[in-house]
Amino acid sequence: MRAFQILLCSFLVIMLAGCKDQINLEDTTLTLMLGIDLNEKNELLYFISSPVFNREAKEKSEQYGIRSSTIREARMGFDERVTGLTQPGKIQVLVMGKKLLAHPDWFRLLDVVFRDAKFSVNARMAVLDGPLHELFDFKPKDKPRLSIHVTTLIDTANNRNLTVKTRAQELHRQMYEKGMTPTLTELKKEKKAVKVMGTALLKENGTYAGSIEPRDTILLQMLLHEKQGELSVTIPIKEPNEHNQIVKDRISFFIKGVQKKVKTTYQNGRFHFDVHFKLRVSVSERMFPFDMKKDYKKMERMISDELQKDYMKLIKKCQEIGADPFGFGLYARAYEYKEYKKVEDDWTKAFSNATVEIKPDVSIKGNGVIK
Amino acid sequence: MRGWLRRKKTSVKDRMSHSSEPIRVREISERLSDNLAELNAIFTLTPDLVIRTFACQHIEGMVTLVYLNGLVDKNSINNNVLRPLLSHPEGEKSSVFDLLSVGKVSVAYDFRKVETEILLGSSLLFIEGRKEVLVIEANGWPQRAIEDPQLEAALKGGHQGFVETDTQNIALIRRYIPNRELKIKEMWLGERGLTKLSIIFLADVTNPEILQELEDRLKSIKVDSILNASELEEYIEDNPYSLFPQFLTSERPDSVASHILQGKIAVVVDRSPSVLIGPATFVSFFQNVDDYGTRWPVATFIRMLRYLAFLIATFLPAIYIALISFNYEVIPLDLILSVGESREKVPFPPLLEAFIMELTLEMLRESGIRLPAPIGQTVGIVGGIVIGQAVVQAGIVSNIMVIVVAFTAISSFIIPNYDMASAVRLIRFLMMILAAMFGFVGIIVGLMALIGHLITLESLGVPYGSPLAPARFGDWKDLFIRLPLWKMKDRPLSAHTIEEQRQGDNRPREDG
Repeated sequence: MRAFQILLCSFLVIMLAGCKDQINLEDTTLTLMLGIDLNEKNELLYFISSPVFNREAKEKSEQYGIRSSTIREARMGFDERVTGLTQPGKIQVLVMGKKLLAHPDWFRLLDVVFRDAKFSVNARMAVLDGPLHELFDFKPKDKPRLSIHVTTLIDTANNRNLTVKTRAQELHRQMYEKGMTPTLTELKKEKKAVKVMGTALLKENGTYAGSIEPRDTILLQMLLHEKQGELSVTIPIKEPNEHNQIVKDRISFFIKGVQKKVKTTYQNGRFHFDVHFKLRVSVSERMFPFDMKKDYKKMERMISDELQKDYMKLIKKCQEIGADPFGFGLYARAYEYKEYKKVEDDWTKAFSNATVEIKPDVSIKGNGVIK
Repeated sequence: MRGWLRRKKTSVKDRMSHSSEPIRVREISERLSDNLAELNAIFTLTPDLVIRTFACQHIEGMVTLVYLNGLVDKNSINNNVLRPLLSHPEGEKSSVFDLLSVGKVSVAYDFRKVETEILLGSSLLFIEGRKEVLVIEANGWPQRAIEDPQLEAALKGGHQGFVETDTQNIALIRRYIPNRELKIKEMWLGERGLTKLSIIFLADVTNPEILQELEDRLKSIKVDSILNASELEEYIEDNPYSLFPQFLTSERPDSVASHILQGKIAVVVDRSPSVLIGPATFVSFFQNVDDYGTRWPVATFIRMLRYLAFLIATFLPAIYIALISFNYEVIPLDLILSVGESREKVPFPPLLEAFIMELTLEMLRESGIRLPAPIGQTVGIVGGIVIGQAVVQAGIVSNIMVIVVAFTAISSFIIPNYDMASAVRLIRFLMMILAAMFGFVGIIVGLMALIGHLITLESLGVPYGSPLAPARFGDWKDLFIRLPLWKMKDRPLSAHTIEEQRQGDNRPREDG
């Protein structure tokens, strides 16, 4: 009798309709790259790029762009066109047009990304300098699927600190964090390739403020995360030499270790940040003769000076455009809370008045395997 | 017609009630001819019954030797029974009893006993003018030699496996434990196929309550016959509806001895080459004699491998189904593309795809077991081609599914105990159905149900989940990690032994 009951129960369980959200992988159209842009008439455009698994299909991925008002509404439009059901769970890259970023309320468009649990919050956030359809129509013959290519491009560029890697969740934090401004990966569609242009800096309200080159991104990343990934810097060295040589006086080095100390004070109505850097570097390329054994102190000083100059330039630029991608506001909040609280809602303004001093202390630990 | 059939059927219960009635048992008569007539009445249509009557006048008079041909040792009958009786020189007075040069001779007084003894292979000597009959133990039946155990091959353990004769099996165990505390309780079971059970235990170690429980259960069995130790297992299990085996069966004397030394109880079933060991715990099915023969870090690694294999064999196909049909977000990007590409041309839903492949695997395995060795190879080749290539090329299943099946198969072969491995095979299908219906949620529910079930199970009243649940940390020395043997000073708590310590300090103190 009991066996019969068990059998009956299992039979009934099998007969259950099961979960409605079952969807087989091959029936989905996985969105790997999502783009949002504005056209000339200020209408919102949505683009997706999905891999196609079918053998009979000649192209390995499909691209669609439609006009719509929200991401969710756009899904309807995509479902009308694509083979499977569009799924947002594996979105790798979320690209915004530069034009869109000029509007302060663009971030609200991403509401569904954070509200819908099925949406991937791991998407890398990027901004494209130019109209998005150029990127989505790009079908390079010597590259993997476009979406995969862009994903790996951002990842590897970030690995060498040429750009930041801001995932959707991280952007959400940066947007709501008053002590810093968001940073995004900046891409540009060139004639034959997609190029990482560096890092886009946003203002506190999310609008586009400016961008910094890959070279400066290394400095930014170093200030943000100390040592993460590979940090390779090339700097010019001023040494007296003949004028007509083709090789310029350059020295390249890996930064092997970074120790950062920030001293925060508030004096005379402005914040003051003292950043002490202890850098352990290893020379990887030197384009001019130099007696390292004797004069390594001199070389260390030259590198320090050069880095300091670059840092000051970068910080000055950020102060001018009204962005604080370094998160100095976090230090201000931690060490000078009273003063910070007063300017909290307009931190970037306070930051542009602040003085920042960067003091790199370079010590050369390696010199390569030749003399 | 049907009524006739029904009348013909008599259940075991009916026979039981018959035998429990005090039926009249015929005693042995003084007259030999009466006895022989009675014998002939009992053993009709028994051509293999040998009845040899001969004169042995100068000792006793006419005597009759009765035995079943083939169940006796002919050499022993000829040399130790017939010859002394026939060729006894005249004049010397002695009793038949003294003349028999056989180790064990007992006396029977009634025909019931006579009947059983003959059927079990003893030789009976009826003597004119005596109201008793001599039961001569000169049994001998077709036997095979002691070989390497087939089901549980071991690299470093002994290479003797049990055979079908219980006396030999007991001898094999005794070789490992020559101790007077090794006690054996004999018991007879089965109405038609009378089977001898020998309960073997260490009297000063084994918990008497568990022993009593086992005895009670064995006594309450009323069956026709027990052909196999595993058959017996089904009658005395605590949870007959569970998928999990609740007794260990082993064909290795060293493994049985090791369990007896731990304080467990072994049941040797005559005519069965495997021995029942109880109480068993879940983890004991993942242990093997080789664990104690290899160095402990290696043994630990292999043991971890087995637990991992258990999880893979149980859950991998289910996880595959869940990933493909519900939780594709979890698959890494590069993998999802290759999975998607290979899934694209498969016409079946993932559950069906997995079922096809898993069933193919099970069929291959099952057919491989029964086939004679020369044909068995063909199965491997056909299976290899079918599973390896053709199915994928034909677009019936995806590449990934083939890998999943291969992984599952390999994993299930790692589990050292056959019964446990079979249980895992079935649980796998349950998990696959759950995964197809509810995705990862289903798998988790299945896992929880599985753990819950394992915790509630008991073997001879001892918790099956021990030493994990209830947690007995003392026993963890021999659980996931096999610590050096000299660290395991106490017997496992899960056996509830009355003598806990099994060894003293076997390492010199670390004093430099």
